Amino acid sequence: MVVDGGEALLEEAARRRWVEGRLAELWSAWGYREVVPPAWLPWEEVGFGTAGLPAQACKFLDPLGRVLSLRPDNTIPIARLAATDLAGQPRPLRLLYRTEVYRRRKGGEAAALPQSGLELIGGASPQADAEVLALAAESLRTLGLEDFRIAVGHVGLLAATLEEAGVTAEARRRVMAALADRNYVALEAALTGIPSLAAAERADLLRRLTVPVPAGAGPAGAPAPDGDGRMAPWRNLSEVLALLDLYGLRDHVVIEPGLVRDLEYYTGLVFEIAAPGLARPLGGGGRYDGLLSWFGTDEPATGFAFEVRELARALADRGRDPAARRPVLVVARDGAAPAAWERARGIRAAGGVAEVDLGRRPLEESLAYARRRGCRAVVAVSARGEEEIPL
Amino acid sequence: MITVALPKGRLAEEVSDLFVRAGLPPVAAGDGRLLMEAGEGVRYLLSRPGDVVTYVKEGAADLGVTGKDMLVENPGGYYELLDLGIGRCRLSVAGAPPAGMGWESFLAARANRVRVATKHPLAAHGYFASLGVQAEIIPLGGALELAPQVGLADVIVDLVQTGRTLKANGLVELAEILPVTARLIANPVSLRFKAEAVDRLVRGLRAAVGGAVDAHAPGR
Repeated sequence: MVVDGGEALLEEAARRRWVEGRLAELWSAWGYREVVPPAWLPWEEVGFGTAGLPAQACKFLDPLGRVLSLRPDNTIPIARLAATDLAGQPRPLRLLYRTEVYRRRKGGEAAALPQSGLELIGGASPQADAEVLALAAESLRTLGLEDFRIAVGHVGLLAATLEEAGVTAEARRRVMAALADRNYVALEAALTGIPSLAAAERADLLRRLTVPVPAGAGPAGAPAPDGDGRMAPWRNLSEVLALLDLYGLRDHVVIEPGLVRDLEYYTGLVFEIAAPGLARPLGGGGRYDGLLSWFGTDEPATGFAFEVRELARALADRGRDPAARRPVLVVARDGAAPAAWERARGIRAAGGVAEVDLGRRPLEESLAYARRRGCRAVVAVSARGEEEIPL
Repeated sequence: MITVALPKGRLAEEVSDLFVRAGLPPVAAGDGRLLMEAGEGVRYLLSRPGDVVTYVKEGAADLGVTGKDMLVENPGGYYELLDLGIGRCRLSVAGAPPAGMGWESFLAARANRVRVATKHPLAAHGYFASLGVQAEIIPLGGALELAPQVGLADVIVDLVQTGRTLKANGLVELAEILPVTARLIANPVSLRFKAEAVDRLVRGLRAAVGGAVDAHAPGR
């Protein structure tokens, strides 16, 4: 079994940390405060509001024989913190985090995946959903990624749509599982088993669930529904979209009526963000109103997470290496160590990177090191003054 | 431009016929080229059936065609859009039990422990686990029929179409694990950024597949 321990070296680590830093800085400016969620959680919490997550969790026993899981998700432990230790904080509670989640992929191999995300807890209004979406978009712009697209779905609207189409509760579970699996062949099979659904209706429903609609066409690509069940979620989605207009985001948004995230705790608007040229989505999130009730408080909440590796890869692919800072190598000659230290201090004070050569080797070797290390320059300091040696 | 990863070999001709019926440019396989601009904004890429999934997952291809068995071996990270109804075969267990011995008594005679040679370790593992059978998976790249004959494995898990190769090597099909047809898969990002082109292609293929797939219940 391959284990992806989440390691990152040198430039990749720097890029990843730069992404995390910029995001945390931006989100702080919007009032989000950082929490470090616990690294493990009691086994039963892994199943709170999710059916599929336990199969992905990496579990272990503590000395008392209790089953624990390495954090397979950040939202669940943060929901617990919000419901318990942070219960006394005023609402809405705006929290951010930058930590790894540990999961087994479907093939079985374990992976440590760095995520940066935020949670907005205690807000039920469309403004809360819009803030989270707008901040996701603003995050990408801050990182210099302008060409993103946000796919938006709505769990409530989807459920009402299926119910009104006559999809039975049993079939609905199969339909939701197929959509979460992104398996349209299984989706068609699930719909085919429903007796009340005529072939034409089935084909129509299949298209509505699988073909994205530009946000300009309105939610679900249809006028306001006449059915009562769909009215409330439809209005909610419309209000969020209208707010996104104010944020200037309408062109970035696509409605995907069949969008189902792989975690079942979502209850309302859900979204996924993608940028062209990348293999995988950059992240996503949505509203999870039921999750905090598992911890004893009934609070609405919404949030999202970015896959930091994908963001870092996007920057690298676009030839941007914001984290790269080439050092100056300062070499002391004829025992002028104090002068070399002084020179390095000056470079650092001016915002540069300075390394002091450890000495006791011929200048040639120091120069060879500087070339391989990618140094910007080599400065030799002696009692007579200093000299920049070309590389 | 839409890049479609197609499987070399067994399936290639059937895929080309279906694509032409769907109004897509033909696949000029056979001249050794692995990458070809086919016109009408379509580019074909030929690779091994198992690698098709990798090309799509990693975004090197927008769409791909490969067998359902390959999707089971490489789950997640793509959309499964359509059952193409071609390349019909099955993933089965085969072996050489004593005459008249069925699959269940074969397992019982081995105390529910078997050595399994296969190119499909995940599917094989999942199947034997569901039976409560302890399977030692022996990964092989091909010519699986050899393994039971030389004592490398008790049984094999492999694709079976006519059963002729099994028969020629003295093996019989013991149990079916999975019915297999070719599927159309898509990269999740391509689906968002090339939505219209992908939808047009899917509609064409769906029409071309037509009754062939409706005649039986689609797979899982």
